[in-house]
Amino acid sequence: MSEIDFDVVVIGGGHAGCEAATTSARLGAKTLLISHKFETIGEMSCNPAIGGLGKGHLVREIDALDGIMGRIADLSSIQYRLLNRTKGPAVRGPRSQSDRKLYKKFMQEEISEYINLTCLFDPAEDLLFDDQNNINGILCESGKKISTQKVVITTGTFLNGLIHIGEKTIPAGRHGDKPSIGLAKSLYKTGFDIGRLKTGTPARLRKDTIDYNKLELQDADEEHAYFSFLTKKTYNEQVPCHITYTNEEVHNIIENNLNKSAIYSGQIKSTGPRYCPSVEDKIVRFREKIRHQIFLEPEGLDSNLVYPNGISTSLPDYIQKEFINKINGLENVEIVRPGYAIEYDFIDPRELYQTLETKKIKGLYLAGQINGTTGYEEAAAQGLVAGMNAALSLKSSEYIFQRNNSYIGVMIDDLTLKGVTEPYRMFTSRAEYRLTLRADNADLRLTPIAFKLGLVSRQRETEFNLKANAIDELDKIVKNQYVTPKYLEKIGIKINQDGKKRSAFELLSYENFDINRIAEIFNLPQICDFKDEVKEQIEIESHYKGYIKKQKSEILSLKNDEKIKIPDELDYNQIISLSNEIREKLNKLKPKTLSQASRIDGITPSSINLILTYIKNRAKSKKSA
Amino acid sequence: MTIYALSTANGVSGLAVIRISGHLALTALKTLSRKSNFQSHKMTHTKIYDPEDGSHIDTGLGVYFAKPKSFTGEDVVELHIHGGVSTVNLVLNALGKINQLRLAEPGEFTKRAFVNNKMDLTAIEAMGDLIHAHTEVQHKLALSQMSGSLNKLYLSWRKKLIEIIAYLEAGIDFADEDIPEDVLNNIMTKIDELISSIDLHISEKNQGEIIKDGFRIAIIGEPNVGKSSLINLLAKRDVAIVSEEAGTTRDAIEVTLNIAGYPVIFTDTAGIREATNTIEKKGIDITHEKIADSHLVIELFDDQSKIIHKKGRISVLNKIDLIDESEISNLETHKISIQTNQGIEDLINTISSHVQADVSNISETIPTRTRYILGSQKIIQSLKNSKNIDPLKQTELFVEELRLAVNEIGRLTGLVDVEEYLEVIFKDFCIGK
Repeated sequence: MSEIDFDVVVIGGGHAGCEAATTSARLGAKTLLISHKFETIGEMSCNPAIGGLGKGHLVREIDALDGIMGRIADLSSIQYRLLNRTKGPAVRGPRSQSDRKLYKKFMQEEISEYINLTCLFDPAEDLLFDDQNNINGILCESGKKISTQKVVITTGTFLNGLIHIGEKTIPAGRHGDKPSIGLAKSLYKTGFDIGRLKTGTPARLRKDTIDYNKLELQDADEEHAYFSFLTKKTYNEQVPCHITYTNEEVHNIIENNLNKSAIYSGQIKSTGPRYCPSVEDKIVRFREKIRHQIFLEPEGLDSNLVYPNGISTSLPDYIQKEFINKINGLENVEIVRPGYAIEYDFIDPRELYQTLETKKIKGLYLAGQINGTTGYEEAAAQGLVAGMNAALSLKSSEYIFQRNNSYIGVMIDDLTLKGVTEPYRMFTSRAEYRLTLRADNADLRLTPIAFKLGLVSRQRETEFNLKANAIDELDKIVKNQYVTPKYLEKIGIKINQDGKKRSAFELLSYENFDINRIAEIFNLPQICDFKDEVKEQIEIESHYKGYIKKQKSEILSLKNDEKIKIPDELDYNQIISLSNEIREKLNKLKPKTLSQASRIDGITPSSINLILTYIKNRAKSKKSA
Repeated sequence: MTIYALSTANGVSGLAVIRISGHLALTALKTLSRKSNFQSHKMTHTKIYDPEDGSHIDTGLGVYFAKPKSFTGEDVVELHIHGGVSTVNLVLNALGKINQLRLAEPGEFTKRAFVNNKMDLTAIEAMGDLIHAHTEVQHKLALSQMSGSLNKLYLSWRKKLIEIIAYLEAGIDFADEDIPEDVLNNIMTKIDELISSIDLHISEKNQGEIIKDGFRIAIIGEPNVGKSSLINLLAKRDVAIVSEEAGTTRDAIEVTLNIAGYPVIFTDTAGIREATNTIEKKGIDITHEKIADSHLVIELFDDQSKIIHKKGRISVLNKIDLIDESEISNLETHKISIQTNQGIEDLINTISSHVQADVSNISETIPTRTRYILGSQKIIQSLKNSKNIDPLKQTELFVEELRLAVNEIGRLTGLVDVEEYLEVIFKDFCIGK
C-alpha cells in the first residue's frame, strides 16, 4: 500500500465525518479524513449544545459503541442539564451546553491523535471509478489522487447550498465555507433521487451588550449527568443560560416585514423543520400566542458571543436588529452576525441500505445532513454506522442496528424505509420500545455488541465488565430474597395480607421503596456497597418490569418477523394480489426482512401477509422439488 | 397479474357478469370486443369474440372502470353476458387465452380492494354480512357498516387518543418548551369520555347478536300443552315431532322466523315435569339452559288455574276452543287455540313488539363480531390502567397504555402509524427551540 492508498476515505470533518473516520479507524481500517481545512474540524455550526430528548439517547449510544462525541461533549461542557428529571428514567435526556472553542479544540486533538487515522486538507473534487464502475479513488482539488474502495461522504448542506438573508442570497455551505461543486456534480450525475430542505439559524449577539439583570435564569443541574460512561468528573466551570421572550411589538415588526423574509416572499420554497420554525413562522402559524420563549445560550466560557435559541430568521439584517432590540434585555444588544436561512439538496435516504451504503454505487456511503437529517447527534450516529460498515465491508461483514436495540436503529430504519419530508430529528416518541431504549442503559444494550464487532477499547471493556457483573450480582440478590406480608406488617409496612411472599425485586417496584430501604428491610447491608449506577439499574428495571415484559413479547414477535428474510432475488411481480403501487415500492426499496417491508410507508398489513404466504409457498415448493 | 371470475351465481340465468381486475383489464376488453374506444364508467354494447379462433361467442355489454375509481382500486372491466352455462364457459375460456390473465381465487377481488385501501377490515367483514343478510335489518346494518360507519367510529376513538398522546408526547420530547399547563387537565376528562363511549359500544353487542344471530324465544310448559304444535303453526311446517304421548320432545328444536325484519328463533323445549327416564332428564336440562339463553320465554298452559305470571315471560293459555268462553277469566293472559288459529295474530304482534323494544334505536355501529367486542374491551382496559398512573411523573407509562390502546384500534381496522403524533404536536404547539 503506497502512501495515498487508504482502506476507507471519509469526506467532511463535521460531526458525521469525525465519527465515521474514528469508527472506521477503530476497526483497524487505514482511514483518511479529507476536509477543506483543519480549523473547521469539529465545528458546531448551529447552537452550542449537545443532547436533549432522543438526541441525548443517541450520544449515549455512540459512547456505548466507544464513539467520540460523548467524551468531547463532556470535555467541553459548561452547563449540564438532565431534561425531564422529574419524569420516568426512560424519557430523561442528558443535554449540555458546550464551549464552542473547547469542543472544537478537543475534537481536533482527538482526530489528530487517533490511531489508524490520517487527515488531508485538500478538498475532494470528484469520485474515481474503474472500468466496472466501482469506486477506486478520489481526486482532490490539488490534482492529487487517492486510491480507495470505500468512501463515506459527510458533507452536510453542500449540495446546492443557498444562504438567504432577506433578499440577499449567497451560494454556500456553512457560513464562510465554499461548496464543493465537483463532488456535487458527480453525485447528481449518478441519478440519486434528490429533495430540497431548508433550515435556519438566529443572529449571534454580543454578550457584554445584553442586560442580564432583567432576565430569568436557568442554572445547570446540581448533579451532572455525563454523556460518556467513562467520564468521572466535570471538567469545566458551569454557567447559566438566560430566558427572555418576544412581545407584541416584536410580533408587529415581523408581521409588517414578512414580505422581506425569504421564507414568506416566495424566495424559499423548500420544506423546513416543523419543530424548529423560524420566528416568522411562529408568529404567522400561532397568532394566538402573545410571546415566544428565547433561550440565551453562552457560546463559551470566555466567548463574547451568545446564541439566542428560538428566533432563527431569514429577515434582512436591519429588520433583525430592529425587532431584537425590542426584546427584554436585548434593547442595546449588538448583533455580531445576522441570522439566515439555508436551502440545500439532500439525497433521498431510501437510496441507502441500512448500512448507509448507496444502492446505486457500491462502496459509497452517505451520512449526516446529506441524508436529510438535522442535528449534530443524528449526524454523528449516522457517521458511526457508515464508518463502521465501510470498514466491516472490507471483511465482507456488516452490522445493522435494530429498532428494538437502539435509537440508532430506529433512525436508520426510519430514514432508509420511510425517507424524509422535513429535516429528520430524533424524538423519543419515534421509538416504540422507549421503555427499554433508555439513556441510562445504552452501554448494557450496545457495548456487548461493540465487543463482538471489535469497536471497544480495553479501558471501556474492563469498566463495562465490572459494572455488568455487579448488576448481575445485585440482581441475583434481590430476586432471591423473599418476605411474607406478615413480616412486612410486623415491621410497620402496610401491604395486602394475601399470604403471598414477595421478592425484594418485586417490592422495589412499589411506591416509596428504593434499594436502600430494601437493604434495611431484608437486612442486607452489602447492597449499600454497590455503586449508584448499579443500584439505579436494578431500581429502574423493577420500576418498568411489567411494561418491559409486554414490550419484550412484542420484540420477540418482531424478531420473528425480522428473522423472516425476503430473498434478494424475489420478484414482487410474481405476488399476484399486490397492487402495482406497492409492487413498485417493494421492487425499488428491496426490504431485506418481512418486518422491514411492513414499515415501508403505504405497505398494508394484508400485503405483508401476501408476501409471507408467497415466501412460505416458495420455500415449500423448493423443498418438494 | 390480471384476474377474472364469474361474479354472479353459477347455473342458468338471464344474465351473467364476469369481472376482470388488473392492469390488463382494458386490454382484455379490447381484445374480446375488437373495439378500441372505451370511456371509463360507460357501458358499451359489443360482440364478444374468441381471441384465438375469432369466433363470435356472445353479444352483451362491456364496462370499464379506470383505477382508482373501481371496486378493487385497479383497472376493472365487467362483461355483462347471457347467463347460459356454455356462454359463460366460452367467455371465461376466451379470457384465459390472453397472456397474463388468470382465474381469480376466492375472495381475491376483495383482497385487492383491501390492499389498495379501498376498504378497511370492518367494511370487508360487513360486505360478507351484506351478501349473507336474510332480514331487512341485517341488510341495513351491513350496508351501513360496509359504507364505513364502524370504521368511522373506531377512527374517531383513534383520533381522540392520538390527540391525547400527542399532547403528552409534546411534554416529554420538548421538555424545555412552554407547553400550556392546562393541557393535562383536559386529558383526564377526555379519557373518561372515551371510556364511556367505548362502554356504550360494547353494550350494544346484545342488539348486534339479536340482529345477526336472532332474537331467541324459548317456548316452555308442561308436557302436552301444545308447545311443538305452536312452533309448527308458526313455522307453518312440521319441524318438531308432535304426538299425544307426554315427553316426546327431548331435544330443543329450533325454527327461525322473520318477524318485523328480525330473525326470531323459537325453541321448542322438552316439557318440564318430574322426568322418569334419563333421556328425558337430559331434555329437561337442555330446557333450563335454553331458558337462560333466551331473550324472551313463552310459557304455554292448557289449564288456567295453573297460570303464574313470571317476570320476562309471556303466559299463553292454549286450547281455549275446548273451554267455554264464560269460564275464561284471566285477562292478562294471551288466549289462543292452535287448533282453530284463534288469538295467534295477537300473540305474534306481542312477540313483535317485544323484539322491537329490545332493539329500539338500532345504532349503525353495533359490534357485529366478537373480535370487535374483545378489541374494545382491551382498549378500555388500557384506558383504565392509564388512569392509575400519574401523567406528570410517569408520563411515559401513561402514554404506553394509550399506545397499547391505539395499537388495538389498529388491529380492528388495519391501520398503525406513529408519524401522526408528531403531526398533531406540531400543529397544536409552537415548538421551536
